[in-house]
Amino acid sequence: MDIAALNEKIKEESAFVDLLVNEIGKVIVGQRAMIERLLIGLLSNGHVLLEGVPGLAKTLAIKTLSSSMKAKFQRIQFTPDLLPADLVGTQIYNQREGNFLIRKGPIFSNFILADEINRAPAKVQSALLEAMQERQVTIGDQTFKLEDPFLVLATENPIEQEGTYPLPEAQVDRFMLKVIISYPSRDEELKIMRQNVNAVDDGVQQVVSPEDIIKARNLVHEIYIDEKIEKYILDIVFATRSPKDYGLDKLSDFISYGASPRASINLALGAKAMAFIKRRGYVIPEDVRGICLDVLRHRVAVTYEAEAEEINSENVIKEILNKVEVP
Amino acid sequence: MVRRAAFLGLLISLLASPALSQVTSSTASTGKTSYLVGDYINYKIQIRYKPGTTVFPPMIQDSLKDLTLLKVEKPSKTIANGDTALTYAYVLSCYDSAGVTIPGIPIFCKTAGDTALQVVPTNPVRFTVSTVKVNLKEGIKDVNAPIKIPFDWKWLLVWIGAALLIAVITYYLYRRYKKKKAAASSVKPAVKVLPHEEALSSLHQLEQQQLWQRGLVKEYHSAITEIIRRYFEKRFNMPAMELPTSEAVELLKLRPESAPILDLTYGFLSNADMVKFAKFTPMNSVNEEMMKQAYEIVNKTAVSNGKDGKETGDAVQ
Repeated sequence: MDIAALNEKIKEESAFVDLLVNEIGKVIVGQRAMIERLLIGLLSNGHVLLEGVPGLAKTLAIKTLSSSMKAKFQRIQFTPDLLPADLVGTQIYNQREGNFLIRKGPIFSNFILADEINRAPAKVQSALLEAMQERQVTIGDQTFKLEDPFLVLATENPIEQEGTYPLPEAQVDRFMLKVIISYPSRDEELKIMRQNVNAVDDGVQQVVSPEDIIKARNLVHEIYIDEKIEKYILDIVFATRSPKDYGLDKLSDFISYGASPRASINLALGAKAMAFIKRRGYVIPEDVRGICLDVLRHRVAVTYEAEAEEINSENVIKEILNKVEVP
Repeated sequence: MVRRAAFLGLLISLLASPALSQVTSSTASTGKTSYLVGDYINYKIQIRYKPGTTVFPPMIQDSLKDLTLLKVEKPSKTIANGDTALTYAYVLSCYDSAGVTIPGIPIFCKTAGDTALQVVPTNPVRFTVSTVKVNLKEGIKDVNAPIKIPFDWKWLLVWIGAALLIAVITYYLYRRYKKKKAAASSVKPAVKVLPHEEALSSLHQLEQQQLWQRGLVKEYHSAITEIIRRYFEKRFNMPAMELPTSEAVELLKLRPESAPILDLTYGFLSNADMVKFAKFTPMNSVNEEMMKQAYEIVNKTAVSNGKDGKETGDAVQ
């Protein structure tokens, strides 16, 4: 498709983005980056992991996003005693008919809010992450396809780590984005305070249908990504694996393993979704850089040496972005 | 029974008798009969024997008891009046006062053609070892005088050799350093190419290549933006090669010298981005305009060399 025509089409089709942002904005003050990342996850069919200290409106943001869409939403509070069957469903014996009935779990929804995912044991996390990857669930001898759009938005609390089950690297990799939520600014917090004290309830309206999202997703796939941008993405991902090749010798001792090919895929997809949000039919380096930290921060593992020097994966990625030449 | 014992006794005494043996004598001596504790006791065994006799070295270790064997000297051999005199010398010491007796050491020998061993014992040697009498009124002094180590010429030669080697290496390194210094001073300092000079030269070269005229529009836009980005890196000391358009312009805003070109640069880089990343095919006039804008960006921010060689912020017209 011609890019000018694609630009026009995107301008038309992305109108819902503003509606969605406005609706979320009625409840959530600030956190523009988090809302943008949630939309990117939605548009590129990728699951999002939100990390932040309690009280930063992680759960509220996800709840509001799903409330503003005509889609099924389920919130699952992950606790240490949660079982896989509580999530995916189970077979129940029907005494009257003498057979087993299938009772589907809360995972059969469009939006799943997996609250405090690291509080549930590995087998529950595993059941969820398998569903995330395969987009289908097997109960007994029957396999059920999950409805589209299917999006898992999980939250994680970086403090109070006692009694939690940190997600293994292989499972974290299944989240397209890991978004770190920071504290709001002073002005934003003043607004939050007033909004909550006055108990003003604007009421979030359903402004987007699942069909709109699926349509937008198809359009996101059509967004043009030039070979130069693809090479730029590969340079960034490869620099996490062999920093020496990019003149980043000092990072060699700090990276225990680099980003997987899933990172390249998600970086390209995320950049396309970012271009869509910015109403563009083509990807520019700003889109890649804008989404880079969220795609890579949970895919680059740092060594003990790095930890000893208080260097985390974000520092490593920023160093790489400052070294890899933009096309 | 008594007869058998008498026979055996006679046989042993006959075997041990020097008259029957080819060894004439075996004598042991220490030279002195009294020693101080820790003194060196030179114990010698001299064996005289006829030619054709094989004498086995004495084994004294078991007979020493309270004495300590410090050194075994090389045996010496002399021939006089047809007899051979073989001398074994040992340095012993005793660390306790006592009356010491070194018992007779059996010397085993054998004559040619005879398989039987003959035993000729040495005489026992007696001496006394006493402690040093301490005179509390006298000052402290060495029990024995310090041993003088003989001067070793070999070591002296090694030291002289090492000193000479170090001197030669030092001289060689000094010569090399001097040569390098002389060579460095003879090299003319490299002419410093100013960022704008380099950029203008690159733009000129790009013009000569006529990329867009040959249909290489994307390559032309990539090359022209690369020249300008490199110019920004050197002129404004910013990582323009690693920054996308929006971030590069944001950084430029922090430099007051870039104020006249901010809008121009943003438009210039954004246009190029459209060509590079959005398959945008500009008109020929746009391509020409890009070159004009590139020259303008460089000329408006160029730094010229002052009279004193220092860079000044004067724009080159």
